[in-house]
Amino acid sequence: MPAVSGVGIGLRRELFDPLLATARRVDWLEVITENFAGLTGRPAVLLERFRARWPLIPHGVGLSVGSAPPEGYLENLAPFVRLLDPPFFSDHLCFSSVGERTWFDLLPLPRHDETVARVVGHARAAQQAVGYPLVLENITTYAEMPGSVFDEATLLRRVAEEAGVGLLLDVNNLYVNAINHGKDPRALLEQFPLEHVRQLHLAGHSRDRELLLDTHAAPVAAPVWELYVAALKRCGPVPTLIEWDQHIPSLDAVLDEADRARALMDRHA
Amino acid sequence: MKPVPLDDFLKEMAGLLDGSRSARQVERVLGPSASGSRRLALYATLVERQQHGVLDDFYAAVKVAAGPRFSPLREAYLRAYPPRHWVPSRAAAQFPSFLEQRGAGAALVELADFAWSRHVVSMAPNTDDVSELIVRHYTHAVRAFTREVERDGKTSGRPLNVPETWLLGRSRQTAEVVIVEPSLAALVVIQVLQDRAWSADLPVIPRDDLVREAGALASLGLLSTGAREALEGWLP
Repeated sequence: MPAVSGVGIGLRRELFDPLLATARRVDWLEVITENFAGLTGRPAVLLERFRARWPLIPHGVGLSVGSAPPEGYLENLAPFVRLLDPPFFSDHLCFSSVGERTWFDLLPLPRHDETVARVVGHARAAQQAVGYPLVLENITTYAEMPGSVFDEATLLRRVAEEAGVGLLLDVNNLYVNAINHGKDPRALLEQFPLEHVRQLHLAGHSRDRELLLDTHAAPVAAPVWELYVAALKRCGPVPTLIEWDQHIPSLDAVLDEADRARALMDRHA
Repeated sequence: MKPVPLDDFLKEMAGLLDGSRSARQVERVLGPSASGSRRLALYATLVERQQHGVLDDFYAAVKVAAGPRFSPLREAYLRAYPPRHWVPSRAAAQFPSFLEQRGAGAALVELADFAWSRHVVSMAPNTDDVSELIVRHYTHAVRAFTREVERDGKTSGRPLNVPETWLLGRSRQTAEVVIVEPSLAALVVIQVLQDRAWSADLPVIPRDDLVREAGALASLGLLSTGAREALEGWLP
């Protein structure tokens, strides 16, 4: 199992060639599970080239632990994770499909006991099927789901403790949620079950009228960097990912963000 | 108030996301959202954007060529084929045949077919045979148009009405998708390799020309050494 530390970036199609040519420091790469479905074709060939140079961490968007993993999902995921042999695989605390219908989005769940039980059951089953620890990420929410009876930190803590999974703290998501729901970002960070955090994510957001949207289409915003420093002080040098998924700039621009995160990690963690 | 069972929540939300229920209808069943109906309704817009994004990325050239016709075609397609697989590209699979069924015109159908064929070749299993090689015959200059869209994001007109044939495959050396205009000899070579036999129906081309063409395809990474050797055994 390759050791994973420092700051990674997302392996995206636009960065394939520049990454293979760069001499700049990249500590690890995040690979989106769904982009390598079946481990076939050009992606599989390229994956081998990246795997030869960097630790690869699988991150999924389709596990849908809040409803149920889609048919065939875990069967595809397990050999992929085994191939990469990471310290863990990650996905999101959300639903993205119901039955065979899927929406390619990370959709919030109502926060109550039945949701905890459902997520815990699917998370345990996923870990069992894949044979590696699962880490779940906090998502952005733009609306409170009807039926919620406790807060997000409680949902995350209970899932982490009852399912025995780690947590991935997306600092940008936490910030976006705080602003969109009129809360104090620092207070939300303090409430977050930080003792379970195995990885941090940083990304850019965009404003759409009164809401912040988690678009991954811009540099990390100043208040998110401040929150990241606060998270580092509490969590220590947790591996951190720079996410950039839309309007992807040059590799150098992405790596500049990674360098900035690494400098903050060295100074504050 | 006791929360609504999770399965009922998921069913109601599925209705909202698919556009068959409004946020207010969902709230009548599930109870009110603390952030209001308008925020809840935003999710229908967000997932619609995601689904549009999959098709827009995949069929950028079709979108440019279709102009204002693209949006209603995309809506109708997503209604007819709502995404049912967690791999996003699967949501785009039926678009070429859908366009054909809708009588969208040869240019749009061929542009969509070209985009999908490139994807199929890119994702084909890594085998040592030639099963992943695709030959496509079009009545429009789809490749030049697609290139222009991918380079500039726009074009100066519609795809030219020029018949062309393309061979699509993946280089064994670089893993890149290779697209070439095949000679008649190349088409015969591929036919023999895919049929694993010579057929008397094939055009008569000197054996040396076929062997030379196989060498040219191999230099592009489209044929393995094993395939070239097998070909020589099947040629008359």
